[in-house]
Amino acid sequence: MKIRILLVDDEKEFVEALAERLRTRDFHVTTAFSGDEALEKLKEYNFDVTILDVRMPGLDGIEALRAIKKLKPLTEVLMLTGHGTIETAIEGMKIGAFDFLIKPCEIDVLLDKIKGAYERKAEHEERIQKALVNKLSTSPMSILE
Amino acid sequence: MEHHHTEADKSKKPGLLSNKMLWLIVGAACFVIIGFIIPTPQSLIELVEKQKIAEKLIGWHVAHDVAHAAWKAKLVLAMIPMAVIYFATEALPIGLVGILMPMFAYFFKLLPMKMIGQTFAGDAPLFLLGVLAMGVTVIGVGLHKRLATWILGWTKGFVVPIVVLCVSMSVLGSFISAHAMAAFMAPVMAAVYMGAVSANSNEGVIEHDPQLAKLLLFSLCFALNVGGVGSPAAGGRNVIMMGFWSDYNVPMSFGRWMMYGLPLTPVLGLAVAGYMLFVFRKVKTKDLTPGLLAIKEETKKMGPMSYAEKVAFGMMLLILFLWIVGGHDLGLGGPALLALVIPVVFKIADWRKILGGISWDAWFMYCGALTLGALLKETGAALWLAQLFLGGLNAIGCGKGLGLWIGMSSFSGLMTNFMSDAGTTALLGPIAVPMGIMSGVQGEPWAIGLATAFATSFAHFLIVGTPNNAIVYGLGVYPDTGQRMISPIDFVKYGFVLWVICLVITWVLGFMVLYNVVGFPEGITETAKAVLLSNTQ
Repeated sequence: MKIRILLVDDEKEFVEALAERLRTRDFHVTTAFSGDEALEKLKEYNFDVTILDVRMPGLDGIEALRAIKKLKPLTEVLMLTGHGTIETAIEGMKIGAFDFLIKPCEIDVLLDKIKGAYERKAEHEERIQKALVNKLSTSPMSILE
Repeated sequence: MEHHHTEADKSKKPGLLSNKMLWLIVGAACFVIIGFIIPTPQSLIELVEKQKIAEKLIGWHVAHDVAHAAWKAKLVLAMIPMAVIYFATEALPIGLVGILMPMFAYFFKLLPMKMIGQTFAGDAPLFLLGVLAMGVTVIGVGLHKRLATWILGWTKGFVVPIVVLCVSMSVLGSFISAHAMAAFMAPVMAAVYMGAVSANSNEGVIEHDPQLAKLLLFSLCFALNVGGVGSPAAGGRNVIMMGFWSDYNVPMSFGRWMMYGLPLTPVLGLAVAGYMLFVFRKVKTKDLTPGLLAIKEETKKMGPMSYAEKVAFGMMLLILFLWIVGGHDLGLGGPALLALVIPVVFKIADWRKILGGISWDAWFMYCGALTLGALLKETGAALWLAQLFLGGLNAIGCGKGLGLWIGMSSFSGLMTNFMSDAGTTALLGPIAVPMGIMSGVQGEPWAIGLATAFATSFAHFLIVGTPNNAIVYGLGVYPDTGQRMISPIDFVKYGFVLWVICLVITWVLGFMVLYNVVGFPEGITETAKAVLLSNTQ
């Protein structure tokens, strides 16, 4: 199954170019140009990895990250940052982001981080599934609880 | 699109069924009312006297006169509605309900102390212990995944993958834990679905085809359910039935069960495929090939067969071989215990992992079922119930042979949708077996026992009927939206007719054809009757 990515940045040209590059590498990419738009899309869809710019007008990266983690705790977040905002990215990692990337980044570095984030999410989901299956195997009725 | 959001599920208010304490009290109240308040039926007193059961119980020092012996039988009868309530509502863990059986036997002195422990053990529990241990190792090394990807990986198109899925899952479900298979295959089916619909969708927006999602998940789920008839290793309920027959001195071999049950599995699997393809004939996506790449990806990820998988596969084949040809000397428990020893000796599984993986809850429940069976048999309660039900069934012309098997399988099939399959067999088996014996038809009590056990594999129409249903429902989620692919009412909608179809196939192919073609050994009815009437004790 294709890895589903939500790419969030207010720089439209950057977002569209990066989305296209990722699509050619067989990712399923959805774009959003603000934190609010990202949250709207997250309400409707599940994404494996969200790539989130830390500095955006309106809802900033950290606020958006908190909201994403509240809405979809399993979605892994990669923070996109410039040299001046590394502190913010580190703060983001403290509150649940998987990693950060400094713009402009090498595509191979980005791909590695996406892969790492996806693997962590898949592992987490597998553990949840295992626990659910164990519960349902002994008590099918618990599905109704 | 009819979606049921998983998030929404969390906000559901707990229903009456989830009030465990209430049901705990209701079950206990039933036991007290039947056991201590309602007077002992005169027919039960007469039966324990006439059949010399009272004499036996007095001789064992568990009753001091006929009325007391009949009261002990009534206490055992009172345990049945209590157990039904506890199994159906899960007011207590099933293993604990199992433990209640010997516990009550000790505290109410229903059998001599030495006999109680014996009823809780024996070949059947050891067999089950091995089956559970084999499941832990096979699943632990991922052999079930390998088998599933081998079987499905080559398929293309639409009809062929569905037919292969249904037939292979029903046959595999006869030997490998269907729950584990459901847990592995449900996400694979979701991936097959996503691959297939993505190929038909524009970039960026996936156009869902809910009918296809349901077709894939229900085909998987129902095919795994029907696999339960194929062999005694399919599930604990079959083992329980084997235990009941042993109690009546007419044990059935592993191979013999397969002769009656295994030919049914591919036919039932085909019926599932046929019915599902008919019901979901209007699916938009008619090509699963792009989705089946997901299975190929799984196979690729696994790489070549590992040492652990090879040992587990060899162990499984060896144990199956010994079950089939080992005969009565080895029993079923003997070969099964290899499943505990081989993985540790060949270092493919850790001893603690095996111990941790075995479902002791299920094991205690099965052992308790055997104790309940023995209690019903020894106190005369089984005989009394059998005569009572046979009287009613005779009045409508279903008192023996095909009519009885159809009646019993229908009741068992119905009951298994409301409570666990093992619970159904545990409660119906001790009554069905003496009913078969008393009907006096050649082949009893095997025929009625198989009828009862086979139907417990048809828990298709309620989500709580079997863990397979709950697991497929729980894991069947659209990966992109997180919404559920099926709803609980879908089980009624698509499972009920299939439940009828499965029963009819079992009646026609099982009872009318296989029972006659395979036949039954001479004298088993007489042997079992002698035990039932306490002549051989």
